[in-house]
Amino acid sequence: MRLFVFAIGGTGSRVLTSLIMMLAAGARPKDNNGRSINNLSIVPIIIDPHETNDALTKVEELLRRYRTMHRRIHGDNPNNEGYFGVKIETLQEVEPQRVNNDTFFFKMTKVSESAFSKFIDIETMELTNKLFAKMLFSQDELNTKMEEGFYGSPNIGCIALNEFRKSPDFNAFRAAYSEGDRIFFIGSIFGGTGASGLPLFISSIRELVNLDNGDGAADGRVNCAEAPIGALIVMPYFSIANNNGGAAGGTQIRDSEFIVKTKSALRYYHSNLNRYINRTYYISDPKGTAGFTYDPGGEGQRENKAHIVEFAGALAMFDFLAINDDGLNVNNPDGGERITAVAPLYKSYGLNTDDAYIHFAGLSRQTNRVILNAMMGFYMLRQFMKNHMGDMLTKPFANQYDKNLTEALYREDEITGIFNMFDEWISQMKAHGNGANNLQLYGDYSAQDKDFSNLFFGSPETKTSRLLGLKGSVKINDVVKALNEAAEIIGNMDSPNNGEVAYARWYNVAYRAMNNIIDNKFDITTLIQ
Amino acid sequence: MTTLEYRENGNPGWTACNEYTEQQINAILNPNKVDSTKISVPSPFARFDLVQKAFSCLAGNANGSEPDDIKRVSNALDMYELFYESAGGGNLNIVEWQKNVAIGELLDGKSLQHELYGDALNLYMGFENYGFRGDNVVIHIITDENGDPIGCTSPTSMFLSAPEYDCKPLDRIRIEGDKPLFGGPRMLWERDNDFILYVYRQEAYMRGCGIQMETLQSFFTYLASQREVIKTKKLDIYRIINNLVYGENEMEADYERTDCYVLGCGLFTRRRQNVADRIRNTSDFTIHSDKTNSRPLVLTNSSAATYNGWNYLSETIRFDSNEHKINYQQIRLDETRHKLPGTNVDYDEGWLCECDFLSDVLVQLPYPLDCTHFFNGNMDTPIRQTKYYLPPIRSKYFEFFNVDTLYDSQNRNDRNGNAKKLEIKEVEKNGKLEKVVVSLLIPVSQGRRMVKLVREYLPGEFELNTAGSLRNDSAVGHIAKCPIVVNIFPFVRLETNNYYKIQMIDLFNNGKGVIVTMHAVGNGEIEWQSEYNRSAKNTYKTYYYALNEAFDYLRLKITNGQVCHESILIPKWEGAVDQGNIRYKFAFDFGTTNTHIAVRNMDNGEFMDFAIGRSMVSTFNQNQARRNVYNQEEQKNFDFFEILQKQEFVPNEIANGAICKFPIRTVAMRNRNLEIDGTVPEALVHVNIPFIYGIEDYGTQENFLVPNLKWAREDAANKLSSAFIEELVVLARIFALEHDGNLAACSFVWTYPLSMVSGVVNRFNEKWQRYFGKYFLGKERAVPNNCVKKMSESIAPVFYYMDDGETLENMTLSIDIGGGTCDVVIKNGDKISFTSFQFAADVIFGAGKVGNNPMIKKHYHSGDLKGICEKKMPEEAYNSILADDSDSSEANSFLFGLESNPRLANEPLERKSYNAKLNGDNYRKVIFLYFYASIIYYLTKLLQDYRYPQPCTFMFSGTGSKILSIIGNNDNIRKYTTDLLNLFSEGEFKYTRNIDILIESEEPKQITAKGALHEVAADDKQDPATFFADPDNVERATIHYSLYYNEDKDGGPIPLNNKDLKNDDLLKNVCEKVKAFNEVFLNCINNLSFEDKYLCDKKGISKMSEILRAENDRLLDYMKTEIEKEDRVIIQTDPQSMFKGALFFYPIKQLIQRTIMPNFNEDLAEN
Repeated sequence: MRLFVFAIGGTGSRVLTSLIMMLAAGARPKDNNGRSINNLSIVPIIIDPHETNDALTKVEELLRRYRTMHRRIHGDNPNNEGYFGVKIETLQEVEPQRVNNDTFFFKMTKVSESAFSKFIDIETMELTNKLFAKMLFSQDELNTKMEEGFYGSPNIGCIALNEFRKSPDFNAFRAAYSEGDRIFFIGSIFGGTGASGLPLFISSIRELVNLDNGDGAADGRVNCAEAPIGALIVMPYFSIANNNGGAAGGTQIRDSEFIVKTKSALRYYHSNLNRYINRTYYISDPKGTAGFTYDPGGEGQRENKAHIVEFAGALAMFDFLAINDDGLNVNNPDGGERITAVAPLYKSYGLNTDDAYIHFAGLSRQTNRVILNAMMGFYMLRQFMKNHMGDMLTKPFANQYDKNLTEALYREDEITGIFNMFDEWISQMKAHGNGANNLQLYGDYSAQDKDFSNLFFGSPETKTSRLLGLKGSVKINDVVKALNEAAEIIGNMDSPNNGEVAYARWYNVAYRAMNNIIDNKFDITTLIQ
Repeated sequence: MTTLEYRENGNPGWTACNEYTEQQINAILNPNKVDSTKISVPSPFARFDLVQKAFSCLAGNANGSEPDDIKRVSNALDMYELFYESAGGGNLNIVEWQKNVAIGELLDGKSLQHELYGDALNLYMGFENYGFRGDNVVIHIITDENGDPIGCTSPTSMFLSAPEYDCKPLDRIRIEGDKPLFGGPRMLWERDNDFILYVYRQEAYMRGCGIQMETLQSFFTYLASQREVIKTKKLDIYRIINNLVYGENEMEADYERTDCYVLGCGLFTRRRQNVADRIRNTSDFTIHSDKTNSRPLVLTNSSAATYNGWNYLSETIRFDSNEHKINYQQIRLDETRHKLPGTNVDYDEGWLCECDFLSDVLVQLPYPLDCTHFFNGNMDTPIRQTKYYLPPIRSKYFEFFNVDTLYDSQNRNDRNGNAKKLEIKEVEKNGKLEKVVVSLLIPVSQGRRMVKLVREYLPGEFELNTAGSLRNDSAVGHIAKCPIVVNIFPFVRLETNNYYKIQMIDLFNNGKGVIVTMHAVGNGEIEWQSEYNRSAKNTYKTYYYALNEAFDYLRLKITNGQVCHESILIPKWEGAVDQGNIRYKFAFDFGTTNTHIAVRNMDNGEFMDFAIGRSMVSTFNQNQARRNVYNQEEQKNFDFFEILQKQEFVPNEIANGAICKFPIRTVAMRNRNLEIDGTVPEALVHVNIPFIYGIEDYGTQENFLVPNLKWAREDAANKLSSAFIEELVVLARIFALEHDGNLAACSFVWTYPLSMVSGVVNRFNEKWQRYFGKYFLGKERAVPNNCVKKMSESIAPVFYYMDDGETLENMTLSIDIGGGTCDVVIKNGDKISFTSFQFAADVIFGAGKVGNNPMIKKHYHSGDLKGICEKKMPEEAYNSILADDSDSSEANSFLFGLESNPRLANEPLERKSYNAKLNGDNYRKVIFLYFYASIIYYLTKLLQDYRYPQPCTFMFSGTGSKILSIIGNNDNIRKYTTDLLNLFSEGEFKYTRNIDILIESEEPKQITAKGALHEVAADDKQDPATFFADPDNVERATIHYSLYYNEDKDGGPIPLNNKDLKNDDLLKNVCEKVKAFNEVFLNCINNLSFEDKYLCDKKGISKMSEILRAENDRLLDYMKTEIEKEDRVIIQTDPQSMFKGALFFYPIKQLIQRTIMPNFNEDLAEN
C-alpha cells in the first residue's frame, strides 16, 4: 500500500518534516489491530510555488537523506522494523516512464515566473473575461508575484496550482495509484498555498472519473477517484513577528487576518469540500506562537521553529493509516460528476495536559503507542553516536568492523545530517516560550554526561521520571552492554569490510539495543495503555 | 477552535469531533476586528462565497459580525441599489459574461495561460455551489466610465461589489441621490424606503418564479432578519412588505424590466419616471411656473447654506450645501444637465442654475438709458449713474416666466409684494467699479419659496470666447461695453394692429467677428416681418427690423457663431393703449420734387400742422448724455447714435418749427449695397425718407438718394416709391395715434397729376390703399372705397381757394407749376376742364449737372450762399448735393430750401434766399420770362381753340410757382400776364385791367394737399371733389391740346396719337408754332419793355434773342430729342392710343436748357 502525501505549502513541508523524523526514529504506522502495516511506502508530493521556501528545501534534503538511509538499512523492503523502516519514494520511482525528475518537489514553472495577472494573461483576454477576472480578483491579487507564494490569497493559489493538476506529474500520480492505496493532504487554511491546494486537488481527484488529460492513461481514473482521502487542515498556530496586525511593515500577510480567513475557509470547506474527504483532521494552536517570520518565505522562514502542531499533524497520518478500508468508503449516490466520501469523519487532536511544556506524558497513549519507543530510542542513539561512539569502537558491538569503516559509519554525512536536523527539530519544538504549547520530549545532554538517566527529564515542569518508570539508572555502560548483546544476537558479519552490510547491521544492532534499554530500564506501561 | 488542547475529561490524541459547520465557525472568536482585504476562500469564486457568507453572518448576528462581513453586505446592497436606480439598466454600463461563451474562449487552445485559468474556473464551478453549475449562467458586470468593473450580479447575493472597493468608497458614483457608492456600511433597513420595498418585492417575485435559488438562501435569510429590524424602525414599510405577494404583473406595473437576470430570474429597476415624479412632488427646489409643465430644479452655490434642510430629492434627502455643490466649470460639458449635483440621480427635467438664467456677459450700455421708456433692471449704484446695463436674462428664464415677472409697469416689487425679482447692483472699490452683482429671484416649491441666483460680473476687456469663464464654485461673468442703441418707432402698444420699426445701431467692436442680433419676444419669439443689415462698416453697423405685432421685450444676442451671450431690453409699455375717437383725413401731395402731407380733423374741420414727436423712442437718453461727463470717444459715439437715427430712421420730431418737417424733398434714402432685385424694400427697414436731407449730414457715404420717385419707370425706383409712400402712411398713422385719432375712422386722399397715365394712377392708388389697409385697418381687412381717395393735383388748389373763402371769377385758371408738370384747371362757371403738360420748374432748375450750371455756380459759389452754408451747416449736409456731378435739380432744390432751413433761421432772408438771388439776376431774368410766356402762350391758344372766354383770374400753386416771384412782384406778373394774353390771343382777349393773379407764395406746395382735404357731404355726387375722384371723369374733362390743326384751322386742334410722333410733317407743323411763339416773344422784349419793366439785362436779352433766332432751324431736332425720352415701348406698342403730351413744349425745353448751359454764358464770365 502506498500513502500519497500531498504536502502543500510551507505548512505541508513542515508537517512532512515531523512525519519523516518519526519514521526515521523507527515509528511504524499500524493498522486498526495494532499491527504494523506491511508493504507500506510513502510517496510525498510537495507542492509549493515558493521554491526557496526554507521548510521546503529542508524537507527535500531530509527526504533524500532518509531515502538513502532506508536503502542502506533496509534495501528494497518497503516496510521494515527499525530506523528508517518505511520506504519513501518519489513519483519517478513509482512511475519512471511518466516522470523525468527524481524529486519529491513539483516545480511549478509558470507560477514561478510572474505576477498572477501574467499567469492568467489577463491582458489578452476577451473583454468579458477580463472584466470577470477583475471581479474575481483584486488588483493586489492580480499583482501578486507568485514565486514567493500566494501571500495568503488562496483564491489565486487555486488557479495557479492548477498547473500541477494539468501536469505529467499528476498523470503519473494517477497512474501510480492502485486500489488500496490512500491519499493524504496536508495544508494550512489561513494562508495561501495550502488553502488553495486542498480543494483543488481533492476535488480534482474526486472528478477523475471525468478527467481526460489526453494522454490515454485512463486506467487509474476510477480507482483514484474512489481513493480514501484524508486531509490535515492546519489552522492558525503562530503569529507573525513585527507585524502588529499588518498595519506596518509592508507585508502582504497579516496574522490579524488569520482567524477571519480561517473562518472563511472553514465555511468554504463545509459547503464545498468536506463531503469529498473521508477523514478530516483539524488542528490548530489557539494559544498561538509568537514571532514567526512571515511567510512568503525566503530567508525569513528559516528561523521559524518546528512546532508541536506539526508534530501532532504528522501523527494524523498514522491515524489515517490505522483505519480499516471499510471505514473509508466512497460512493456516487447522485451519479454526479464527483465521488463523495461515505460517512466522513472529523478528528481533532487533544493533549493530556495543559502544561506549557509537553512531555510524552502530555501526549495521548494513542500517540505514545505509535512514537514513544521510537522517539526515545532514536534520541538515545543520536546521543550515543554523537558523544560516545568514537570512544567505543573497540567494544564488541563494533570491533567486527574495520576501524575505518566503523568511524565512517557514525561520522558519515547522511546520518549526521539527519541527526543535526533532528536536533534542531526537537530543540525548536520546545522553544516557543511559556505562553505557548511546547513539545519537550528530551532533556539536555552533553558529551561529558555519561548518564542517560536524565535524557528524558530536561524540563523542571515535566516530572516524567515516575511516568517513564525509570528503573535505577541508564549509564553509558548500560548502553554499550545492550549494544554488545544485540550484536551478539544478530551474529557476525559475513563480510566485515562491506560497507553496505555494515550500515544495515549497525542500525539493526542499535535499534535492538535501544529498544532493549527501554524495555529493561523503563516502565512505560502507563503511557501507552 | 477546539483543537490541540488539554482535554481533562476527554480523549486526547486524534479523536472524533464535529465538523466545523456554520454554527461552530460562528462561535470562533476573533480577537482582532480587522477589515481584511484578503480572502481565504480557496476558490476563484471566493468573492461570491464571502459575500454569501457575509449575508449569512449578518442574518444571524449582525452585532457580532466581522467588519468585513458588514462591509461586503453593505457594498452588495449598494450595488443592488445602484442597479435599482439605474432605470432599466440604461444608466449603467453593463457587460454580459456568459459562462459557456466565456469559458469556451478561455479554452479555445490559443493560450496556455487562459486554458489553465479556464480549466480551473470550470473545475470550481462544477463542484462548488455558488450558482455557476448550469450551462446558461450569466453574470452582468457593471463598469464605471473608464470601463473598470465596479460590481456585478451574483447568484449568491443578487449583487456584489468589485474587490477594489472593499476598503474604499467610489465617491463619484452616488446612490440614494447623494451617498457615495460603497461609502457605507448601511444595512438594508437604513436605506431608501422605495429601495427597501423593491428588494422585498423582487424577492417575492423571484420566489414565485419557481427557480431553484438555493445559493440565495443566505441573502433571503438576511432579508428576513432585516424585516424584523424594519418592523421596529419603519413600521409603515414593514406593513407593506410583510406577507408580500408580488408577481410578474405587479413588477411590470411598478418597475422597469431589464435585460439582466440572477439565476435566470429577471431583474427590475425603478422607473425613471417614478424618480422624476418623486422629485417633482417633493423637492423644494422645483421651479414654480404657470407657463409650462416642465419642472427642473433651480440650484445655486450662492448662499447655498440658506437652503440647507430644504427637501432636495425627497423629504428624506435634504439639501446640504457642502455635499450638493455645483461645479460651474463642469456643467458646460453637460448639456442635458440631468444628473443632480452631488448625487447620482438622473432627473429627466434637469436642473438649472445661474448660467441658465443669467448670461455669461453683462452688457453695459456706455450711455445713459432712457429709463422712462426702458426697464433698468432695478439698478442700484453708489456711483453716479452714467452707464447702464441690459438685464442679462437668458431665454431660458422666459420658458418659465413672463417678462412682467421681472418688471411690473405698476412699479410694484412683485405681485405678492415681495422683493424685486431682478436687481443689478454696482459695487465700487476706491471709487471705481469693482463688479456688478446681478441677482434674480426664482420662485420654487409651488411658489412658497425663492431661490436667489447671484452672478457677479467683472469689468475688463471683453473677449467673447472667454467672457463666460467660470470658477468651479461660482458663476462669474464679465462686463462687456456694448455701444448699442435701439430705436423703436412707434413706442406705443395698441390692443391690436401693432406695427413697429426698430433700428439698432451697433458701434460694438466688430473687428473680432462679433455679431449682434436682436429678437422680439412676445408670446414666444416673434418672427420679424423683415429685417435688414443696412450698414456694415467696420466702425458701425445698423440693423432694421419690422414687426407686425406687439412684443414684450427685445432679446439681444452677442455671438461669434460659437459662443452666444444674451441680454434683454424691456420697454416699459404702459399696457395696451386705447385709440382715440378723432377722425383724421390725410392728404398726400406726392410731388415730383417735393411731398407734403396735410391733415384735417374731420370732426371739427380744423386743419392741423403735421407734427409728431412722442413716438420715436431711443434707449439712448440724449438729454442726460449731454448733461453728464463722458470721454471723447463716448461723446463721439453719442453724435453717431443721433445722426444715424436721423439719416436712416426717423427723427425724434417732425413738425413745423423743428428741423424736420413737411413738405419734404421727394427722395428716398437707401444704402448703396441694397440689392433691390429680389427685395421688396420696406420703409424704415431698407429705405427711409431723409428728413435731414439738405439740413444735416444725411449719410452720403453709406447711402445715396433716389429722386424721381414719382415718374419712375424702372422697377427699382418703383419699389422705392412704394417704400416712400409706406413711410408717409406710417407717419400719418403715428400722427393719428399721437393725436387721439381713431385709425379705422381715418381716411386718405392723394393727388396725382393729370399727365399721369391711368395705369400708373391705378398702381399708385393700389399702393395707397394697401398701406392704408395695413397701417390703419390691420392687414387682413379690405379697404373701403371712401377711405382712400385720389384727386387731381390740378383741381386740388381750386378747392383750397374755395375753402379758403376766395370768390373765384367765372373764368378762372388754376395753374399748378410743379417740378415736372403743369396741371391746369379751367373753371368756366360750374364747368371744369383740365389740361396738363410736362413743362415745369425742372426745365429750368433741372438742367444738366451742377458743374455745368453757371446759374448755380454764380449764386452759390460766388455769392453769399456758400458762405452761409459753410458757416451754419455741416458740410456733409450739402457737399454732395452741390458737387459738380450732382444733378442741378437737387442743387437748386437745396438752394431754394435754404430760405426755410432751420439751421439758417437767424440769417437775413436776402442773404439766404436763392429766390431773391435769382430775382436779382437780371442777366437770366429773360429766361424766366420766356419760360412763363411759353406757358401762357400755350394756354392762350388752348382757350381760343376751345372757345373759352377770356380768363379773369389765374391761381398759381406748386413749387414751380416760385418762378413767378423771380419774374417780379404780383403787379409785374399781373401786368406781364395780361399783356401776354392780349398779345398771344392776337387781340381776342381784351382786358380793361390786369387780370387777377393768386399766388400762395408762403405755402405754394401745401395748397394742393390742403385743397385735397376739401370736405364734401358724403352723398354729394355733384361736388367736383367727388365727381373728379373718378379718373374717368377727369379724363373725359381733360383737354389734350396739340396745337396741331388738320389743314383748316377752323377745324380745331386735333388730338394726337402715339404714331404721330413719327410724322415729321406733323412735328414740323408744331415746330412752326414754336417758331411763331418765339417770334412773338422776341417782339415782346421790346414791346413789353423787358429791360425797363422787368429789369432784364441787355446782354441777357441779346443772348436770349440770339439763341432763339439761331436755334429756330433746329427746333425739329430738339423736338425729336425730347421725343426720344418718351416711353418708347408704349409709343411703339400702342400707336393708336392718344398721345397726352404737349409737343409744343418739347423744343422749348431744349431751348431753355441751352440758356442755362455755359454757352449762354461763355462771354459773360462775370456772371
